[in-house]
Amino acid sequence: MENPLIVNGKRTDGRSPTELRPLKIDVGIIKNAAGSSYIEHGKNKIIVAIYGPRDSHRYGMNIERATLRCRYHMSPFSTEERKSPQPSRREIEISKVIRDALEPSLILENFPKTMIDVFVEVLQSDGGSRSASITAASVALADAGIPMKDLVEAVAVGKVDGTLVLDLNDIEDKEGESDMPVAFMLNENKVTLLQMDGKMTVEEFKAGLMMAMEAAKKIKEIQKEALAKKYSKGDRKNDA
Amino acid sequence: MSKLVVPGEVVAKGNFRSWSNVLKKGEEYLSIFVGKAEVGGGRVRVVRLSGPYIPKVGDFVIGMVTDVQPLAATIDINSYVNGYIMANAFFKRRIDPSKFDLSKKVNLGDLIAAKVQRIERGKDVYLQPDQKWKVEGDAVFYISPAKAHYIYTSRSRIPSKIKELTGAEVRLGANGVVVVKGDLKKIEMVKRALDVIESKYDLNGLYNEIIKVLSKDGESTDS
Amino acid sequence: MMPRKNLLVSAVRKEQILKTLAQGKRVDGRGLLDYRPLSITPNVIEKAEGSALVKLGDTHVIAGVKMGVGTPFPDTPNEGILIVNAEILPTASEYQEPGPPDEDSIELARVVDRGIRESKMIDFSKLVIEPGKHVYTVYVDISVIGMDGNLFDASSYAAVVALMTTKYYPFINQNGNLVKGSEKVPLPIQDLGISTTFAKIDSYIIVDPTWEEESIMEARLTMVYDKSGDICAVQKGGNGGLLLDDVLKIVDLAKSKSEEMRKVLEGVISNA
Repeated sequence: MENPLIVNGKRTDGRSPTELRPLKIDVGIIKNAAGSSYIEHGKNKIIVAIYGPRDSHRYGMNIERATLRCRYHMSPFSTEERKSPQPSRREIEISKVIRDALEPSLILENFPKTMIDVFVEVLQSDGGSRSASITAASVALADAGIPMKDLVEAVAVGKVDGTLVLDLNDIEDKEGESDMPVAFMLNENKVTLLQMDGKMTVEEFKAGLMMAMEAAKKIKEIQKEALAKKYSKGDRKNDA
Repeated sequence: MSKLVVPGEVVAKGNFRSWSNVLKKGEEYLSIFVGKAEVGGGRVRVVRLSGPYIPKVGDFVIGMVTDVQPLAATIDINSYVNGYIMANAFFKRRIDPSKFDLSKKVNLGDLIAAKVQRIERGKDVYLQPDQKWKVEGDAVFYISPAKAHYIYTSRSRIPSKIKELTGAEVRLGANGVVVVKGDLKKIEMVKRALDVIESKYDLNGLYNEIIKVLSKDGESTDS
Repeated sequence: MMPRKNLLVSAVRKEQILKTLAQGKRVDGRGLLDYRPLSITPNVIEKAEGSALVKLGDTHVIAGVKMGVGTPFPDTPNEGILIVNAEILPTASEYQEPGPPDEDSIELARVVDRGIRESKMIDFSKLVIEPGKHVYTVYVDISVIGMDGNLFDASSYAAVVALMTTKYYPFINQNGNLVKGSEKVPLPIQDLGISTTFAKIDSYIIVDPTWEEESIMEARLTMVYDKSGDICAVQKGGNGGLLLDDVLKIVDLAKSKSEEMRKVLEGVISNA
């Protein structure tokens, strides 16, 4: 190992192993969208817009419920090296797993034969952009008034310098031993996204899952506050 | 009791006779929307604050003509489904389809006042145009269809109060389309009242809040 | 089916817009020759060499500058390269489908490109590392996040502010090897082209049209002026024609408007 990523219990950005990066969410930023949100999570800067439900005549539409479509896309300036605007295989896979992470939370039967679009644009990427996208997209879907059983929140855990850490940043993601993004529907005790690359022992895996769940509870509070802030704008003004 | 809730949040615990926009999980009732929770009288419900217009039979709506065929017009009713008006719905009598052309009566972009007559296959919304079906006005605004529908179904005094305080003619569709008749100053006042509706979640307090905002308006223009 | 790019504006709303114009006002309360509230935030993307977020009313555009090293074009061996790319994101409106840039995105990129290139904003002769072999490529990527008309001005402002505030690590040619320098430098900026866009609705000439106004306009004219007050790029848009008299009127209006907007942009840049 050339450069240690953890020194005296502190990580490259000064955090302890179980600490989240700063996380901020704004709701309702795009006028034309049915719902929208903006998230800053670490250095991630991501916007999500929801369009729909809308009438669709696409082949293969589900006739009993709404069809969810998701696009995760990175702006060319979002990375250290300029990224080609064409969607990469990575972006296409992430689009799919984000959709699969959100869909279990949604009650899509109310809108048969329609399409709901989730458009995720990563303006700046850092470690954990898919997790941040899911956290933001769930809030945007709530803003769009799509019925749901619970909000979904996601965060990564991983192993860095032999230590289990929460919410990996860019360098930990690239140089650490493993990275495991997880999404939760806490009310139902369900995991809706689970991926891992690298190596962990079975014990570490189990402990990591619990660590991610504790963090998801904190993220859920931030999601709730962000929604409350938008929907009680007028009410707050009057209280002041 | 009225409280802002988000999806997945516990609205109430215990036993209730009826509930809407919540999921029952054991003793708990969880909201499925961002909304205003109302608990009382054996009832739990969440009034949603966002989302599309969901048509209900009997609703009065204002829609825009987006396509005209000889025997039917397609109406944008600010929803995820289209509205349709069949040519014969405009007349009390039968019409001869071979001689009839609806495009001579209805134009693209016209605003139409109508009632939701029936909904087929959960998707096709058939409308019955009003006696005075062509909406004339000086301004049109869009408010949250969820809030508009609440105001409409709760038979709120808000629309008539806005009319009274602004002197403008106001028609509110259950789908969130608002048409105003009056001069620029009156339109501006109505706009301010609509902004109040858009910015608050406590729909019970809206009525008084609108009175407050519009009477302030009057004072400032008088002085 | 062709995507619908123009809003279908209801007859009542169209009347409302026209009646308001007749009283010297717009439906959003502006005067005919007023821009919407404009906010420009430079350096919003730390990972880019330059960036700016522009909010022109509800039109939101972000531009990022990335510097690369490439081979010069054979006909300009002693000049750096400019590549402007724009994407109207599907987040921007319900009519925008995800996919490769459509004609609107490409037109937008080309008009912004022209404004930068023809105003001689950047001295490309100074972006050469080794003549004929290595030059800098300046990538300007524009993402339209939210769309409410006048994408040209919003995108142009985002692009030029991103360029003006760009700082990058230069490459130094050491015996044929390119070595990254240790201190960031700005781009060789020598001018600033300012874009202004006017639209003709009925008999009225307005500046900075919203999407709704663009949907009912006869035509639109975008003009870019350099700092000496010369015209350096023009684009007529919309499926109607403009009277010759109107073109002449707009040329003068645009010139004074561009001076006004130049002050705004220069203020943003000097505070960056």
